[in-house]
Amino acid sequence: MNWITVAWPMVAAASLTLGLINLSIGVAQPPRAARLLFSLNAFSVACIAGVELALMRADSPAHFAAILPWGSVVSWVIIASLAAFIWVFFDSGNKWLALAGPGLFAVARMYDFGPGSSIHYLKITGLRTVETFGGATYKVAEGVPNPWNAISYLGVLVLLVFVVDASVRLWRRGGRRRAAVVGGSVTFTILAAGAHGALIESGIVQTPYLISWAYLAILVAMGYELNADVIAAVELGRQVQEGERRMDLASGAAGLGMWTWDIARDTIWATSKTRSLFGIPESEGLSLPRFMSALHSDDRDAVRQAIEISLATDRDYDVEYRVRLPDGQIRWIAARGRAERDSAGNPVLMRGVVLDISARRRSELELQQLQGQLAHVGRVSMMGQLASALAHELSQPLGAILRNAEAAELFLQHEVPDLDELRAILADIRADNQRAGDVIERLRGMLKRRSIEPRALAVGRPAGRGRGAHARECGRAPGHA
Amino acid sequence: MATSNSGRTYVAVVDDNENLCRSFARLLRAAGMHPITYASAEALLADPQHPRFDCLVLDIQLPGMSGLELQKQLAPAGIAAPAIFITAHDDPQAREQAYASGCAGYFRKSDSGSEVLEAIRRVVVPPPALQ
Repeated sequence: MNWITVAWPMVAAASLTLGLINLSIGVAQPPRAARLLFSLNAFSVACIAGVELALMRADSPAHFAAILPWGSVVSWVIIASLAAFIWVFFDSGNKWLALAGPGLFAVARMYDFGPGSSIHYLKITGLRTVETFGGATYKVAEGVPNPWNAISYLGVLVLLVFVVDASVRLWRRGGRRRAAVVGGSVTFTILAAGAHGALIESGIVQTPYLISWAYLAILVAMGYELNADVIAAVELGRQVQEGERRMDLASGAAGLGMWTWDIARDTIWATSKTRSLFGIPESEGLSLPRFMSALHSDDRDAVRQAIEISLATDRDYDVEYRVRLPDGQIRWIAARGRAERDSAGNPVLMRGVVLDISARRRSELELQQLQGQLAHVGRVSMMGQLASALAHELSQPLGAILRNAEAAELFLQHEVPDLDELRAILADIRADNQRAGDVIERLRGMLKRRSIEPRALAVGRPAGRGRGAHARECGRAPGHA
Repeated sequence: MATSNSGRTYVAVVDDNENLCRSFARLLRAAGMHPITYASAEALLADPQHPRFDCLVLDIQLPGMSGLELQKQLAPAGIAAPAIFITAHDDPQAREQAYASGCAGYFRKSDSGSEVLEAIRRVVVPPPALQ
């Protein structure tokens, strides 16, 4: 059993695993570009492990030479994706250095695709079988190195400079852990793999390519970095949950229910208080149509309109409506909310609170009924007062007219009618008639001036009737005795 | 008795409305009686030289003491004449009180004066046996 045929696939599998993890995370959430570039990088390393294994197991120089261009392509993808990854992940570094490294490498490796040429060897003279510990054997090439291959290594060197420069910049900016762990491991890998490759290709050492093994350092570093992210995310999640619980408790104590409506997905997140106010169980999914269905049918249009206005303008959502509970009861709710918008000004979500105002509504209704009753009582009593005032004010002049007329009739039956008395009677009748007319005129004026209000009115006496005049008039009477 | 001595019928009219007072006094005079008018209950009680009344016609709503109250004060004041009540505001409570006091009549101000005259005649004309 050759352990080499087990070890290289293991490195490839480890790289694939890391690549897949980053791919799945990168598809779901930011930073997307960095994670996708890194997974591309890891997949390429898995490929290079395969290329290395194939070279070790080549059965002829021609076979060996045929595999080398594949190694060039995959190596270039590794270098290019690594440069792009650092550029995006560190958000620092020199752009021209980032482009120059992979660029130089690509220019050199073009040579592999010329007719019958290789950037690695001018000529491969033969393959040698090497035995290493454990009795494992592998093939190495013997031949004349191509001096132009130095350009490839210049490209790798530029990449190294770029990574170190970007790491130093990130370190200075405060991203120390990332700069040290990721920057350090990438630097180590480039140094180790590049130097080792150069030694092999210049014929100084004769070992298998160890690019994929050097990459294990990056594997460990990124695993650590990823772990730190996951741990931080879990901690953050716990804090968010704790915060949510606290908010739920505080808002619940204040009787406030909170909600957030994700407009695009049409899902409503609601605190347990909100759900209990609407009589919607925790397990049930919430959407706008479901919310609308909980409302009293008479209030739905008004609420829909309020939402539309709030989404279309900057105005707050502020409505009061009735909720029909599952047991048929009616609950009054006051709702307030505000739309939140993206950078283009389109509403993304709406956040707000709801409050049970049934008690307030009930007392308002009772007050309204009481006011109605009071107004009714007031109207009735006012009509009563008006009628009695009218009776009082009119019955006196009318009674006086009647008595004067009756007295006149009796006087006329006398043998010698007292004409002076009759004249006085007629004058009094005229005055009383005028008085009665005045009463009616005043009453009309009063009713015309204002609507009927429940207010006690003093019953006015006709003006110009001083107490003195009355006393004189009446006081004359005892003289008849 | 004043009536037997002078043959005159004295009627007190107490009403704060001077027009009613005057018109009713005229009617009484035209009917051959002798009215004496007062603007208030207090004025009547304070009159030191009033004759002996045969009848009193009292307005119920008066400034100060009411007609009903005045009737209660008549006996202490030495006046024994029957009372007839007149009111501008015919409310059931006042009417009940008036009848309970044993009045000789209860009328509204808009009622015909001849009805009141008849009521007065009923109480002042002595039974034939006594004449």
